[in-house]
Amino acid sequence: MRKNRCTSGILGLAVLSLVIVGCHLVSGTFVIVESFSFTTQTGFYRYEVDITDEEKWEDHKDDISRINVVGFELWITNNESVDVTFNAYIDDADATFYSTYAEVDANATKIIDDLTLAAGPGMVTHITYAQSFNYLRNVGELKRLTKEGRFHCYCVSDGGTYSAFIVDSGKVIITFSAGGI
Amino acid sequence: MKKLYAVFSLLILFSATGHARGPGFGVGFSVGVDLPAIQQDKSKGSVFGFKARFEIIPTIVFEPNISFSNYGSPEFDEFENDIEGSKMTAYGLDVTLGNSIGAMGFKPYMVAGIAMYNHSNESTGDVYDTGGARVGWSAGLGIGLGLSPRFDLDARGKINVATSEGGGSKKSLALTGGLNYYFGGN
Repeated sequence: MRKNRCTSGILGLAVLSLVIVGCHLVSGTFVIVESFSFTTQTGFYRYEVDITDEEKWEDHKDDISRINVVGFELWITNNESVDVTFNAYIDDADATFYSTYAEVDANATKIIDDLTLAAGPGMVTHITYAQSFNYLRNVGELKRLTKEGRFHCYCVSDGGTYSAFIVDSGKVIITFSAGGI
Repeated sequence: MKKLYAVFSLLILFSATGHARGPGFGVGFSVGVDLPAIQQDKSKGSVFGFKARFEIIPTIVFEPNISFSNYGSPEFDEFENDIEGSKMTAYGLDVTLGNSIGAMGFKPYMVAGIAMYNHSNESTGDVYDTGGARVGWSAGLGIGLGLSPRFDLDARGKINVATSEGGGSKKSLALTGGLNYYFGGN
């Protein structure tokens, strides 16, 4: 019986040690949000997503294990008289910043394909974070570029006169895991 | 803190070995809250689970188990987070030191185990895979209350640490209460 109690005590202390170690683990899952507005609004939009100066990113940039999810929010106003189709692309931050749709279509990776936006006076479309997952494609490349911390984002609208279609603003929401254990 | 652990260990030893009735078998269920730790994409959720209990060696009880956690979706100031909360299914084997089957009265115990943890999210799952089931471990403390040789009340706090694809881990603290029923015996 004494031997049995001794064995149980040792096992108990081993379990407690595991608990204590567990309390000091620092790995976790973090969420970063980058708000943006585009520099030009004439049917061709571009923006450099850069989260490298975000505090959470700086704290964990050396031990990021995984980009879990990348989503977005967009507010778009379509005052045109016809529906507009909307596409988005991404490319490496070190690549040339393209200035034409043809260059983007030939070289960048499309992540939103032909999203149709209804037209009308004051017609604002809000694509929520949850809705954004219905439109995303090529997420493997999106995750790869996001892990770099910077990437180019291009948006292209097609339809109408371009003068009454505006991408008002957007947000990129990035969830990543970091930590060694 | 060391004194606290020492006292707890002694409580387990004396309570368990003093009342153990030998080999036994039982089943149980538990419900409670699951608190994600350093997981900004999750908020507090609920958990429920089922387990079997086998006491083959006196004071040491083996518990094959399965549990289901439903996390909340956290609110953020920066954006409208309208996705569903994540879910986690865990199935594995725990071992308790103490909380012997059929023993009466208060029974403090320690618990540790290994499990497969499968995280999922319906809002993002069609686009982003969550890495599938990942191995992990758990450890914690609990207290049983033997109401009769056949029934126990059981409360425990357990840290779950599930490995993540590419490194790192997902951690949570499950605080549960439940009821165990034992077959055979007295």
